[in-house]
Amino acid sequence: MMDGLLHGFAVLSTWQNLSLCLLGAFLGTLVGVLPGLGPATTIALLLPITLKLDPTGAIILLAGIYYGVAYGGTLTSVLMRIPGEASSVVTCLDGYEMARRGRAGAALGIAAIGSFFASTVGILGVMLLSPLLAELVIAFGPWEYAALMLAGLSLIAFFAASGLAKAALMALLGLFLGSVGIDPIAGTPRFTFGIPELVDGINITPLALGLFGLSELLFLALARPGKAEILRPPNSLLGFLPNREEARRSVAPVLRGSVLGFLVGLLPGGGAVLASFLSYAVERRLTRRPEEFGRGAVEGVAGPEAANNSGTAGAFIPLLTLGIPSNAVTALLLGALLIHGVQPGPMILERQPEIYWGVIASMYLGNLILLVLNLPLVGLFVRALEIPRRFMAAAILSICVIGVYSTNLATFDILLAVGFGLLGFALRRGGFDLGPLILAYVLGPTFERSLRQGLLIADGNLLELADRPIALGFILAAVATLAGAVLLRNRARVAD
Amino acid sequence: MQRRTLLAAGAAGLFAPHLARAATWPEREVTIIVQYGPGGSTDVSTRAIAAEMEKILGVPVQIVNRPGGQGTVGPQQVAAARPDGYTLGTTGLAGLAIAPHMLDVPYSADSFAFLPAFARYLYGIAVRAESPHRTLADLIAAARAKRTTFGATGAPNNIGMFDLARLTGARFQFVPFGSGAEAVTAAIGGHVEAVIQNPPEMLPALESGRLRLLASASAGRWKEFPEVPTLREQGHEVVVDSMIGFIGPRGIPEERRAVLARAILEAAQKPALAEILGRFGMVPSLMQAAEFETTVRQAHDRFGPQLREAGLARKR
Repeated sequence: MMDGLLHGFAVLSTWQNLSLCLLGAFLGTLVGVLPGLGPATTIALLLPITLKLDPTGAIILLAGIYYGVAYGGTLTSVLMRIPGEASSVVTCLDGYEMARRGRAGAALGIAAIGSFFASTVGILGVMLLSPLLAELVIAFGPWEYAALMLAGLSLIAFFAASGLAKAALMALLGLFLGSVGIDPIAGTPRFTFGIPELVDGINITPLALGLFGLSELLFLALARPGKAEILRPPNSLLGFLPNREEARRSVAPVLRGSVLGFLVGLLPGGGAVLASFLSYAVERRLTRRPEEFGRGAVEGVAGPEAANNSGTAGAFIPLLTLGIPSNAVTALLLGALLIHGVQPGPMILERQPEIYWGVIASMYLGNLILLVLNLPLVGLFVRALEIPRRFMAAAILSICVIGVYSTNLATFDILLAVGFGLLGFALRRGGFDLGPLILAYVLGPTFERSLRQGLLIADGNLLELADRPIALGFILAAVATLAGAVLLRNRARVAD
Repeated sequence: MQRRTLLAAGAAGLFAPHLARAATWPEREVTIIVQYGPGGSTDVSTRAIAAEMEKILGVPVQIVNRPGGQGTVGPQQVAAARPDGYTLGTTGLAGLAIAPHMLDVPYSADSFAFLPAFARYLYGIAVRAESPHRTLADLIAAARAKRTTFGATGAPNNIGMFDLARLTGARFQFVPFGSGAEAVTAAIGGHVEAVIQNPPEMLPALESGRLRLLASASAGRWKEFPEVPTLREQGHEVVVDSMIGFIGPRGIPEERRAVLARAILEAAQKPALAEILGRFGMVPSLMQAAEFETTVRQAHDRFGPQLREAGLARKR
């Protein structure tokens, strides 16, 4: 193992590979920062160019973009409530509230350090546990996925700051939005209303940018000029760093987020987005300060930001050891490997160890680069808060529109984002919490597909579940979570 | 009068070079619309053949990815393009013979001018290593006795299994997966009893011994598994086939079509292309334009009733 890693660093230590690692990390941060522009689009754009590189160099560059994104995405979520990346959507909820309380630097600092820690956990996991975890991936069948998603959905009960009924309503809306497009079993379109652009479903980019970002800009536009400028950066250098209390409260969420994110990242269909949402839900469930969530709880930043980074690392295991991409971005990486004549899979360690270990060594270095790149920049970026927000808002709006358009080159997506912006504005005015909506939207499609696959396999016989301990465990967890939420609520009511 | 002469002279001057170069069409870049995003087999093989066509045609050949609508946005844009031969597309049965049964698409085979096809996909049927089924005959016998599940992404893979079931009296239950990789993983884990997919997603598991290939479902054997016979060689008249070929909007002038067809056929014979195709589990396979068109039309007419019967097509 150590030999392998040393071999990896030897592969990495050419000028070409080192600069490609740096370039990848830098581009990843940039793509993460720009709302709407995602890793899939960027890697797709660069793919033809990497044909000129050798396979190791190409994959080092593209992997750098992939894991760099999870760092950069945090920035606009915290400063503007506009998710830079789908995996940072959930950071909008509490990160932005921290910024409003003057703790933007702390939020970004925690995110950067937590990200670095989680990535290291993720890489170690990839290195030490790959063969073992590949077995776990295989043990997960449709029933296990369905049960895991159910457990995830049950956590919505803890989002219910605005009341259980309102949260359930938002969850239903999220499930509906997630079901637009192709029926996963029949293969025919549904809820598309004859609009061809809806056939591929509602993309998370216009949805998240609209609901969170554009709705915030609308609030900003309505606020009185003086009042809209309250976001001010801390005036001393120390103010950029998390204080002792914030650091202490972040330790456990970062640890939990790292492990949870890594495991979720392994699963096909999982990855960083799901990881961040589940981590947020878990933190919300475990916190002793539920009243702070949604009002700037540091746990709500630390957990998800750790989870999205280790989730990114986790996704490399099925890719490299089984040749199975677990999300759209790793599918592109697989394509890149195939173009270069590399067939990932169990044989890669014997046939092309320089690729396997080269990528792992590049992830170590890349994450260090990202930490060094991001931590000092926190101070710089937080200064951006000094720009009057009415100017900033205009710039952000144009970047959002370009970003939304760039994903599919579809003007329809811009209209969609604007529509969701208005919807998000109306819902927030009505006192609805957007968390359940987006969580249900992310989990719903996998839940539906897996459940229906499971029923097809079992010929409609739910008793098959009895033979599936992992799935049963998740279902029990879901039931316990719901019961717990109801009990807590009743107790709170009695206490009132 | 004088002005008019000048104009005429100018016009003649403008058109003369065109006339002189008419034999050397095309005179500017050709655009090829790919119906999926970069990095997949359709995109990569199109890029590979475009690189060769560029040398033959002597003009740049650029690739434009138009994913969306489950791969129907690309053909739609080809159908709507100006039929001057400068806008083409690559597609196969998925876009032309299958999607029209599932989605409401504004095109049909009549919307296109067909050009040659240059590659075929390979298909194979496999079970996991721990499966009691050693041979295809075992699998079929088991499926006669009891309903047996298989994973696949959709048509035409599943249609091959439906055909096999009809011919042998077996009962195969189709379980759809979002990607070939997910279908293969489910088969390795024993969640479905068999899988029918393409080499790229199956090879890693086949080579490490976690999956066992029971049959090539294509017309020929897989080069990595020359000892595994095809369905036909095992006595079942079933071939799962899909290809990638070129289409243009209907109405491209005949002589331009001929120039393009010649270029495609010549480019398709380059060894570099075979190499790239092999990495994505495809084999070079030339099909003249007329043959490609007939295959697409026949597949379209055959798949419709079969998909509807399986409840997998939109209602008419």
